[in-house]
Amino acid sequence: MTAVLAGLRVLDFCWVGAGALVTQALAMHGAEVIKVESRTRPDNLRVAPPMRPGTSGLDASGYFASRNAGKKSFALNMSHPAAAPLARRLAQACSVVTSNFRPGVMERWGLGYADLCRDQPGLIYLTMPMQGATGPHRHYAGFGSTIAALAGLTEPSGQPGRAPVGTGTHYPDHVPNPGHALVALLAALVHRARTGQGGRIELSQLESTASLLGPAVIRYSVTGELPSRQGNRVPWAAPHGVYPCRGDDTWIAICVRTEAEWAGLAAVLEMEADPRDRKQHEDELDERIAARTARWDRWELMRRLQAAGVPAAVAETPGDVFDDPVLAGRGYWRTLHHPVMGPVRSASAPHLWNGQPVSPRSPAPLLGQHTEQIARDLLGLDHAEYARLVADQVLW
Amino acid sequence: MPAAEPSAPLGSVKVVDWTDPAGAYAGRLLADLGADVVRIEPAGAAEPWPQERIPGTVVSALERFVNLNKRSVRVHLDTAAGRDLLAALIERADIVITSGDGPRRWRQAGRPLRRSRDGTHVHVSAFGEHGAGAALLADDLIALAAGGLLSLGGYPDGPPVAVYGTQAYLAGGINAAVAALLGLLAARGGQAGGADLDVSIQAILAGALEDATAEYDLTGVVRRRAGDTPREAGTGVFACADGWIAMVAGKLGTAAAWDALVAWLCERGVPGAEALKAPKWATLEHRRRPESIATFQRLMEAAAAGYTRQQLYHELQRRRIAAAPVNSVADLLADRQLAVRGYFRQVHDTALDRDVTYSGPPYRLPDHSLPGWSSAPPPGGLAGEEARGWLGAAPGAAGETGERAR
Repeated sequence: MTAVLAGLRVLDFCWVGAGALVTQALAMHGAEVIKVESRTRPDNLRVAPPMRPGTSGLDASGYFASRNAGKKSFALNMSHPAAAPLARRLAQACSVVTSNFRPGVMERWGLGYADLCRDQPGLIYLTMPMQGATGPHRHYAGFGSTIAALAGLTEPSGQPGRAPVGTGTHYPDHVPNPGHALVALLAALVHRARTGQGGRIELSQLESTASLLGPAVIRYSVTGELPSRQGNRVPWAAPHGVYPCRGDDTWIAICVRTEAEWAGLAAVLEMEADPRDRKQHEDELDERIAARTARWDRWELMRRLQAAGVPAAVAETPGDVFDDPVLAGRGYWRTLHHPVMGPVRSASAPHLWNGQPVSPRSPAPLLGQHTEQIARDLLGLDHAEYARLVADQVLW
Repeated sequence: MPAAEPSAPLGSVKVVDWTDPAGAYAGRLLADLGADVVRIEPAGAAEPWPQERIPGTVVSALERFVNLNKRSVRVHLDTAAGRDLLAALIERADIVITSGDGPRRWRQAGRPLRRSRDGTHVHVSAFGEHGAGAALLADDLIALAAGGLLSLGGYPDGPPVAVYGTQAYLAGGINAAVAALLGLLAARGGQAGGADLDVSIQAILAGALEDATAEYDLTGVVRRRAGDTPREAGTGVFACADGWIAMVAGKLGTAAAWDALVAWLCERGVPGAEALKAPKWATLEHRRRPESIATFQRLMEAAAAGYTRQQLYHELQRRRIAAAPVNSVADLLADRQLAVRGYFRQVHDTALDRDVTYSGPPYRLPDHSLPGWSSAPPPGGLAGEEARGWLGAAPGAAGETGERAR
């Protein structure tokens, strides 16, 4: 397996959402990621469902496991006065430090960039504050779904005349914010390899998400027009929608951009290829299409439409994606054996590297699983010192 | 033409961008960080940018957005000279990013898409290029469906509804940039032979379904779209005087946020709010019951009705409750935090011949020097000069676009 980031050691204070996915991707590509966490204030995800029936506790959350695979866990109780000096020593053994606390938290521990870069000019220091480290709202709290709302992504998502619905997830945590953070972090690694220089990366989760509204911002600035909720319709294709199939709550997405695609759809559904302007008659066409798709098995219809040259896909559920033949063919899901949760199917990187999947190397760590090893190897503590710090609830 | 910024993070990196909308954002991200990105515009190709066309103009807002800070070159692929030019550009590139059919046909004709010694080639597509997905047709909606994200959006009483704004394409672009930089790091780290990276948008999204995949894997429960019905008391979208606010004071929130929210409802004198102080309301199990969700929504909206989105936003944030207005794009442009941080930028667009507002960059790198922003090149690409400059060749040397041969 490719280990492009082998030799990179990351001290990771990220918790909960977007940050954890950034460092999970680093770990997948071979970085040694040391997650600093504590029993006194565990990562919210460690206590969040889902959990396998019959399991419980801080090591049983599937939510946590899905974004912390391949990391090491170092239990350090940052509320104990002896903890921050240990964390600073640990930082000296790492060349990347990541966090997503509110502004000021790392600085209070003496772990701000200014504190750490004195000894390490090559340090790359990623922070992911909700709205940035400066400005009147820098201390405002947020989660993916509230950031999506603030950034203008939720409002145009939904059916006309109904309440906005967004993605139904904390989308900014899963796509734009970890993705953008990785782009900046990897670019900083490229720069450091060339110059030896590190530096700060500040990813405001609001700004990162709002950047994806860029096309709408451009259009608004030129025309004064705002996007509105249009369901699944778009100005550049018709029909363009999601239609029912046989069975309970099963759906297929279909996109028709050209006359050839329209003819293909009509042929498969055995309906007339209405020559009128499709955009003008979209309501009527959608009804006719839905009446026909409802008789079809969704997978069979997808196969037939694709064979007829029509872009179409089953609206896969979070269960379907595990059985999807294309994802399976890419080796996308990898089963990891977790000591508490048992077998856990974990996502690989979304790319194949020279045809091979890049997957997590180990399941999410138990809380503190690697504390003793890291204390010994990186902090130089002997077993007696380690045991004393555990007993004092510093390494805790 | 974008200003060269050799001291920028990617100041030494040359990128060929031969993408359609599914991958074009990748090159934009690399260009913002200082890479010299040249966009291939095949002459005579079908209009690839129907998305977000700006009324009254010939340009697409998505195209202007993703092509900022790039150069472009029009290449006549039906001529030997044009093909030679493209081959020369690819040979000089550290990174080649592709999406769409043109690059696929190029490769099928046996032509390389990267420098053999150490080049990185990233291809973005809805289903990936390896195996059964390579032949499948898609647009943004189809990719959202295949990746599972579509199924979680929309209302329980209707079909799944896609998120606004070609998010699948933008996700493809972001992850293509990530893949490109990983390939570059491998090459610069001495891994010989180069890298072919095959990015699947379906895979990106299947890994972005929150806890829903883990829920199915561990419990067998298939999460369904909840739409405008909250999944839990304390979290969701709530109507107020002039629209909606989004709030998270439930599962992922803190106990303190829930207590603060209940205290606020009680202070507002909302009839029935005192009942939320009962210990059972502090449990996820109780807050997830449909009757709990309905009760909370009634109480919350009774209190919220007296507030605008902005009032409610600041009132709840003062109490450390994660709430936010459901903003339109106009509201976003008026956001005070973004204004104070100087987020939005004006760029003079050469195709529109006017200043245009751009969203700011997704991150700030205060210790690095970054290039200033310059207009996207004209749609359709420029003739030879840009390519000659990019190749570092003298005019007329390697840089024929094939136009003379036509």
